[in-house]
Amino acid sequence: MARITKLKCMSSDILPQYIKDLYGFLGGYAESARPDVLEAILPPAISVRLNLAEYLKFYFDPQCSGIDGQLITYESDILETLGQIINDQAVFSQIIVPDIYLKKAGFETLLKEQINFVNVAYKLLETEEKQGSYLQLNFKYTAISEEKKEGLLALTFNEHTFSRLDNLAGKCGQVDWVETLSLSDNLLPAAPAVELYNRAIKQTEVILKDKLLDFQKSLNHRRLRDVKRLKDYYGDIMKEIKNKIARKKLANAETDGELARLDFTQKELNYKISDQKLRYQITVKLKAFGALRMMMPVVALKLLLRRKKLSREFILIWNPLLKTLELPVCSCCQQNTSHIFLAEDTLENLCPHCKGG
Amino acid sequence: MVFLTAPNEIETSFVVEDTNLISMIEQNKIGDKKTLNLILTRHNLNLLRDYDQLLCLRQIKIEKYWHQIETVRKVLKNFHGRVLLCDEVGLGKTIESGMLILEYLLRGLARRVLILTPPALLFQWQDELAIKFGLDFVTNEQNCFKLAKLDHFPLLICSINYAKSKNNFAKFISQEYDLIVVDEAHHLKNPQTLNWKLINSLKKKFIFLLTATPVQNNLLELFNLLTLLKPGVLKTAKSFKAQYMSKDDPKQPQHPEKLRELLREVMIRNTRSLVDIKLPKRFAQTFIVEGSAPEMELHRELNAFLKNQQLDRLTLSLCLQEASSSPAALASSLKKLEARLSPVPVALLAIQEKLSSLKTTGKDVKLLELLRKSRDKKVVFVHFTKTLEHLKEICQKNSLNFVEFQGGMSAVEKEQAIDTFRDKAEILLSSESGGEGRNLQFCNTIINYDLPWNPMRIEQRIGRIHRIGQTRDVFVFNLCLRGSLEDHLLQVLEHKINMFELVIGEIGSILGNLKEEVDFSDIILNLWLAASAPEELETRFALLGEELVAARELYQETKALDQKLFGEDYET
Repeated sequence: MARITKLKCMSSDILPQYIKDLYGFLGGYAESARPDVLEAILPPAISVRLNLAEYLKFYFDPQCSGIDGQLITYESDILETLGQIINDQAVFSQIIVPDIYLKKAGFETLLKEQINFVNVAYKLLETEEKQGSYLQLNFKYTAISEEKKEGLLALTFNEHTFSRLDNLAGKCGQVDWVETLSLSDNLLPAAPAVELYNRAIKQTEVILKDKLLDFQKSLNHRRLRDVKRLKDYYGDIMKEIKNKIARKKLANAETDGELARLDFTQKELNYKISDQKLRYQITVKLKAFGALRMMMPVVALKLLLRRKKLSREFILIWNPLLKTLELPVCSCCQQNTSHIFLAEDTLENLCPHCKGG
Repeated sequence: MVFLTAPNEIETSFVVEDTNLISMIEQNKIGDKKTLNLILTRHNLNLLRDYDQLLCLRQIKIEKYWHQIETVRKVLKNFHGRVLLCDEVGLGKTIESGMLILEYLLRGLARRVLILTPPALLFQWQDELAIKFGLDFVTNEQNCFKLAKLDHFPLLICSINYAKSKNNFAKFISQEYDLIVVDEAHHLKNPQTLNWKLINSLKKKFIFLLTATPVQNNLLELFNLLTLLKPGVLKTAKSFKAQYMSKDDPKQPQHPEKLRELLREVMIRNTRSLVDIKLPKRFAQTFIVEGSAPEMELHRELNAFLKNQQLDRLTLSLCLQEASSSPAALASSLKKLEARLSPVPVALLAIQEKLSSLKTTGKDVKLLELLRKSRDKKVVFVHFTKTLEHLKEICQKNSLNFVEFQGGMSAVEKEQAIDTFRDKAEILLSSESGGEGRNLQFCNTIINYDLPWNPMRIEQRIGRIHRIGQTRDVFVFNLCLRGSLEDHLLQVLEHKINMFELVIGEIGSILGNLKEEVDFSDIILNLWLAASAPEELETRFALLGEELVAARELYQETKALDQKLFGEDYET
């Protein structure tokens, strides 16, 4: 029996806060009259615009009975009505951790353990406490074909090194963040936002290729089934025409007519098959709707990399939330790699896969 | 931009929609985090509303497969909670139902759930829902249920026989249920039966009917099932016959495609070919062990003693199964029996005496031989904890690299045991409980040191390694003592219905065709009780074998008919 109370519908955990926030955003107000019940007031103009009553009472648990109000579940239409105002909005927000513990020593060991310097000699020149900035980009994707599949993706990049740290968001709850309007001092130089955005788009394709594989397989299965049915159907027609030509010993003109019919049937089959291709092709629409810049103290490790007679400086970051070195990025495929392999002439870093290519 | 353009694959293009986000970042137009969270929640809620995101997935600890997730989405989105789930055997109808029940509860769409099953499946359902989904259902067999009112338990599993009985029918139909699940729904094929009338009369918002074989003899059976789901939608039986059934043959549809079109609105059927599941081969070998003279003598004496005592069925069944498992398992039960009986029968003391001097059995010798034969990973299954301890001693004495897994361990200990087995140990000594749903596909050999009397339990053991994700051929070794009940049982299961070659799940369908609607273990005990001599036991098992053959034939006929009707590529 204990479990059942735990399984009290999850909407009663998420929805009250959402509606409170949404009413606040719309200039209205909502408060809990008693646990699981909200009383809410909308400004008159919004109420007219949304065609909703100014005063409404909501409850969230179907087990509550005898309440004079609307039951709200994930399926309730009112969520759609209220939410339409923020449907196409995009927001950029910025937060900072003023202080956090930074590792002081032991970076040589970390470098040995975490990074594989393949064709290069390195020297740790210095370590410096800096401000690092990370940009999390939120995307919504909609894959449309014979059916639709939607989902959300969030990609987080170090704005200085381009290293992707999608697991950073999961660690954010460990520290207290403060919203800020300005960039912090001592910040490592950040790449232009558009460059990060383009990288994110490119990497999203790779992620979605994997995520949508089963969706694509299912559609392909259906397409092959439909193509087989078409081939069977038109195959039978063509067989009948061929039989007719063979069986009836037709005159030349008539044979030509039947051959033309055969040719036309084949063309129609080809057309129908290509039609199937069109029917099942997938279009993935991707839209960024939110960005969050997270700034925090980090340790920047300045390395000197030497390859034959050439050398260059290279920055690696120790991240205090992940408590690890952030991986360097391959200049070619833009993916994280634990290897440092410098190209002969440009000294750009390549991952094992790209260096092989 | 276009990607994924391999031949024979679907072309996928990628469209990036305009956003003002980049200019916001570049121009430092900063909004508050609360609004960002609000928008994020809004998108998440949209996904939940359209069922693109499921709540149950985060709560389930077992591996979920794509076809199962898609089925849940379809039932919610397209079928609005009224569906005939007809997956081929072994593709996880119970998992899909568990996911659906959880999803409906979490979404607040259902509060009272009633599952109706054949009596033999009550505990299997209860176990699976508890272990895999964390749902504590009560069954009509539990004392707490018997003492309380029917509406006291929102999550209830009942045998359909119990619910339809004269005393209970009216009570059940006076209740209001949000969700009803009926397992083995082909038992609802006839509208004249109490089964059908009960489901028809129950007040329910949502209903899932589960069967791998919706049509057994006549297409009208399908009409009867669909009428329970969507009453009136097919009009009358007469019009259904006229529209969909061939006049000459009640098993043949008049227009197969038209029938399929109709079914797509009410039925989901995943097939192996559709979900692209190919399991490797399975090989089974049974070793009938010759016991030593004292060992055989002990079993003879125990049989005679148990026959002569007026003991309850539970004690009898336990003692017989423990005797076949190991002397260690039997010893503790006999000790308890000794405390119960007054005066203590001399025969019991004599058996205990013999038991204490029996240190090694024929099965132990064979087990060691099997364990030493190769260094491949093996799971050794036992039914009793005492037997597990006995095998631990054997492994320790022989310096074998093993790890233990049993129901009494904490979740962390269990996790560690599986990790150790995967990474280091060669042998996993496992009791049945607690291991459901854990991935053991890295191992391809199981040894049944003892055998449960219920074949579905044996199948569960095999299912731990012969499942999606297993890439190598699977080997099953069974050990039993010559002349034991398990020896007879294996003769029947192996030689009459080739149990070890069946697909996981099929044994349940076959047993469902038996006339006796009791747990298979009860059938075994009944045979033992009724037989006055070993020869008679053999004859009775032979008769059971014939019943099982008939049940298997019936199952195969139905399976073939359903395959013909719905095809390999039925898809909603």
